[in-house]
Amino acid sequence: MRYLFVFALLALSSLCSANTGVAFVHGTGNQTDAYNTYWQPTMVNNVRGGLANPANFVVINCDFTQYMWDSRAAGCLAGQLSSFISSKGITRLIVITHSNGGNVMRWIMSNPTWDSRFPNIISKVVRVNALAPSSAGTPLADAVTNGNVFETSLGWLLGYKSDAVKMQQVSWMSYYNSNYLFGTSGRPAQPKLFRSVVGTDVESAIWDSDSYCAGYTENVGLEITQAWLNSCSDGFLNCSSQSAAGSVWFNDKTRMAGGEPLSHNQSRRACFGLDSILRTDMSY
Amino acid sequence: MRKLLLVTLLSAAGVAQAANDNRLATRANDLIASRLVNIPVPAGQFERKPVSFSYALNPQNQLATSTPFTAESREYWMQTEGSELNKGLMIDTTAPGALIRISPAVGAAAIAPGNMKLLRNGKAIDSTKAFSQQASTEQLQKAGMDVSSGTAVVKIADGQGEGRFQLVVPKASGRYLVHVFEPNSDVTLQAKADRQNYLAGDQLVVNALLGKNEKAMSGTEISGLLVSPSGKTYDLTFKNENGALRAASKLPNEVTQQPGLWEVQVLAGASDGNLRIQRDARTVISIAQPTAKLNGQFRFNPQALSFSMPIQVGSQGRYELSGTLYATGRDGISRPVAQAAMANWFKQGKGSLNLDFNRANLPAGYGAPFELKFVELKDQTRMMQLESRENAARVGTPR
Repeated sequence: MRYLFVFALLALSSLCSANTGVAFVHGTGNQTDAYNTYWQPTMVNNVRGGLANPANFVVINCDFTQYMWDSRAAGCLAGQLSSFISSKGITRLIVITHSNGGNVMRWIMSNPTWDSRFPNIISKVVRVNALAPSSAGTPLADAVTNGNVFETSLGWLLGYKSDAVKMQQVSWMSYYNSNYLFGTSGRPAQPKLFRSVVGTDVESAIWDSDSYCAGYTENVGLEITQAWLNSCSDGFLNCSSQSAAGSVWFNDKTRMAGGEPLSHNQSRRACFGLDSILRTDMSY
Repeated sequence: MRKLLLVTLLSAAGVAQAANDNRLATRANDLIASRLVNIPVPAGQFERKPVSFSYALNPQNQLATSTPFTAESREYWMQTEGSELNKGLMIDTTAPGALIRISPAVGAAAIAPGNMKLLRNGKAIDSTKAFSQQASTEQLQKAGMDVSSGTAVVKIADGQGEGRFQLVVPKASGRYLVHVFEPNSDVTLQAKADRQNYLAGDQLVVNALLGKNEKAMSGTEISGLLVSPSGKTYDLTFKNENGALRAASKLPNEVTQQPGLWEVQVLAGASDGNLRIQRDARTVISIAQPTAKLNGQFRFNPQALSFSMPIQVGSQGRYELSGTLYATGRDGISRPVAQAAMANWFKQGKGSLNLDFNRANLPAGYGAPFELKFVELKDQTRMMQLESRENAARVGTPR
């Protein structure tokens, strides 16, 4: 009993002496102001408010239209995380990712020898809270990667799809999960905890005010894209993709206010108490 | 008891052999190059410093050999002219609730979902009953579906059933790509390559099946293409072998500067009564140029739990060696205990890479004999898997 008490004290003292920070890692897209446009201030500020020092936060802005391993994707993320760690003296880093941001972070944790900055980042990470990660890709990426080669060979390409979209096709992610990424079934675990928040449904009833969190029109689109997906999805990703890597922290309806689901757009915004849960998590 | 003795003797013999013979083991499905190529370093930023990393694994989490992806398609694409859409494009469906997406090519008129009409046997279906859902480009893009400008999607109402429809878009003009997706259909095209990683010049085998409830459809016509990351295409010829559709092809030696995977595209069709059934499926493989290889030997340092492996480098670049250490528990069962990797930059010639598993990663109660599994050599400059050995070595004296 005495040992247990001493151990608890030691654990508490090491947590108190630690300097914890949080990083917000966006999804697919080339972000220059993710604080205002991707996450929005309410989400970021509510979450970082749970830190002992709320100034210990960074909102990542990188080009995640590239393949995850690209210097403009994982390389850019590593650069911004390294600068944050060194400038703020961060000893414990909690990373919050959304969507494809989870894949870029998983790239860093699964390929530590790729870049000499990666091991130091991994050593500081205590966990990754992956909000709706596209760990196993999405059939929507397959659908928009226009048809087959017979269309493209005719020279009337409908528009270039980014490498990030190509990469998130289901077959492509299956390959990368089996050969380059850790954390999926049958593969080695990642060196640090990677746990996902899974969005299981979309509500877009015009009379339901909950549909308006994160924008009504965005959720209308998600209702339609759900037709490409399984019955359990957040409108962009199947639940199976969101829970394919690491462990599931929680499914939306089990923790959100009123048992609300989190659509793919809502899982990066201060909807239904998600920000409060993440805020509380900053103190552990 | 006799069986136990026999197993113990065989096990001890295996260990002794491994201790005296420091050659890596090979298995039928391992990827091992027999030649090397010298190709230039691609454009890009690459790490030049040596980096090593290791960490402990939970022995209770079993690892498994990964298997190739099986593509399963309930969709097809076709191209059409605006004039065809003005008159009524024939769309055959095999199940209720088909989704139809129309995307205009450059210069073609945009499609608004409200302008689409559905006909059956030449008679227009009431617009309120024809489609149960529709979405514009803006709605789809806001949902994260990166469709091209002017695209529209409609879902045929379940109540309309399946069969032949005509889709009419009065103001269509120019060329369009039409994507028909039938999420509720029991007609699927499955396609699977025989492995995930190949070396240039290897034999690729693709198996496919166009079936209804997985029963092969008779009279299937099928074709296929292999598409390189740079977009170059190679024909795949399928043969019907006792009902199984199989393509076998020697892989090209194309050296591509484009990152990404090679796509196997399979297109199949058959008739079901008056209906024309179509399906397109895609899967991916990696084709590597053999830029480096392990020379097949290793040295094991039991104190450091470290393996050192010489490599032969054909092309300048950064190479990574990785592997999983299995150790034997008190119950005599071998389980995964640690993961290690090392990468460095090499010029053409000889070098070596180490897997330092670090004794601190060894869980209590685990020890020799050790097994080195899932050894992989990767070219980090060209994103290619060059070598893999599932059961590479067994070392150490049993306790």
